Amino acid sequence: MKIIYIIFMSLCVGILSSVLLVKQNTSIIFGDASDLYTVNISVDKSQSPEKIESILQEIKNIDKSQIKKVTLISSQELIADVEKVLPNYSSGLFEKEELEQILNPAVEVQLSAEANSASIIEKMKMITGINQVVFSGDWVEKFKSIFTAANHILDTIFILFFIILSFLITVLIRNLLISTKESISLQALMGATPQQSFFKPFSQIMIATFISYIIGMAMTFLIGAVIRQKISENTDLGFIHDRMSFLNQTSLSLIAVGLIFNLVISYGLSFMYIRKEFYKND
Amino acid sequence: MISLKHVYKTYDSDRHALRDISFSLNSQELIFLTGPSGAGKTTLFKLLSLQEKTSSGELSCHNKSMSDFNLKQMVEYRRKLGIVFQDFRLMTELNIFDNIAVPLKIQKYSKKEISFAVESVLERFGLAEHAKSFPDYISGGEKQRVAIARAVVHKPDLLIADEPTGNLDRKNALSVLSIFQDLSAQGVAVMIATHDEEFLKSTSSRTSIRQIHLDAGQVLKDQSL
Repeated sequence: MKIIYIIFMSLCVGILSSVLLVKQNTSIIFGDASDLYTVNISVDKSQSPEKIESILQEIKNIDKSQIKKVTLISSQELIADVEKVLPNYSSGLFEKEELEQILNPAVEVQLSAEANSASIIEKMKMITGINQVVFSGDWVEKFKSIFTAANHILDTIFILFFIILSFLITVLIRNLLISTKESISLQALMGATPQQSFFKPFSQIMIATFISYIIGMAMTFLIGAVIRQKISENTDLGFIHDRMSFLNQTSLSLIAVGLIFNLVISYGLSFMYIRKEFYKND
Repeated sequence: MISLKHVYKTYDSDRHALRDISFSLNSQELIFLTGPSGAGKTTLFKLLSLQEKTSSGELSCHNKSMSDFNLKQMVEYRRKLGIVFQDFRLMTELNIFDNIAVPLKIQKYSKKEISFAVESVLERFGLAEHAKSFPDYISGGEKQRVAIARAVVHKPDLLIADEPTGNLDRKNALSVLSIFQDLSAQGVAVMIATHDEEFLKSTSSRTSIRQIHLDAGQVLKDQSL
């Protein structure tokens, strides 16, 4: 019976920690702060290297205090990125020169968090030779409501499984109390204190909970490792691979504290029950 | 030591299990509580072991009302009590040695003391060879002896035994009776519930022996034998 509870508790801990893992790593979908304040500029492909240099300088001059970094990504670099994701059999299908004709050089501009992005972007659009200006923040804004909803769903799942886990612990303690009732009552009659008579079943519950915590965390770690492995196979998602992290101290502690809290409550209730049942003298 | 004054125990407001019970039990006394099934013997034992509370009247230990016992006093009282249950109530997950050791472990005796005390009662009750056996693998008579050994291992002040010889043959029953008489002679107050009045005739006159006969929850006879 205890094994079945350990399995269910491990699953609950696994789900709870997976939810926390996803929540913790949600920022990698949004990108971090630097992504939020990044402007991607596409430069006309007809521009000479000297003109591109001058465009870069013009961008920098818009507002030196609010523009942190300006990086040119040449057509060659873009082609190299494209080639990485193309399968081997595609080699020879495209001539590099042809690709160079298609791909425009790009400029990545990092703004400071306090920057007046709208005004800077307007000024960038006015620079001759610039083809397109895309602000990452706009993209994030568009999807923010979706991510907010997703976060709410994750929170709901977390609360739901936390309640299930609490219920499981309560049921486990109740059943263990019932199955050890005879032993508890016998020990009580022999002069055991309520703590003494409940020590053995409660330590079994604590061990079962601890094992479930370890198994649940191991499951999440495994899932995280598999996801990371899959991501590493896709170079386009390289940035996720680099930024993805396993559960941090807070998440690990949150579940551990939750379990301890449940155990403390259950211990209190069981203690009251034992006193009422086997030490009644009122 | 233990005193009952006009004790009543009523269940469901109209079912009287005990009516106006008054007697006292002192050290070195051996009391046989006799009476047919349903006479109230087990109820009386439940009151003495603080499993139940009196409906009215006073049950006291060393002149202190037991209904006023707090948790600590209750635990202390129970530690000086030995109980032999009619259905033995052995812990099936523990071997015989560990079953007998339970009261000593509860009272936090050292390992050495536990080992010494348990081994001596195992020897005394002829159970030494079963020390490592589990209750499910010994006979009814042996279980009975284990139950008695567990009740006396911690040298209680008061021993209550509910039909302790019910599963024993005549020879073993007499042997157990002799043990109870020894305990009584050593200063333990012993109360034995039995419906076998023939058994009383087997007692010797080494100690003060009394018979309290119960019927329908009332004391019909309280006499020295």
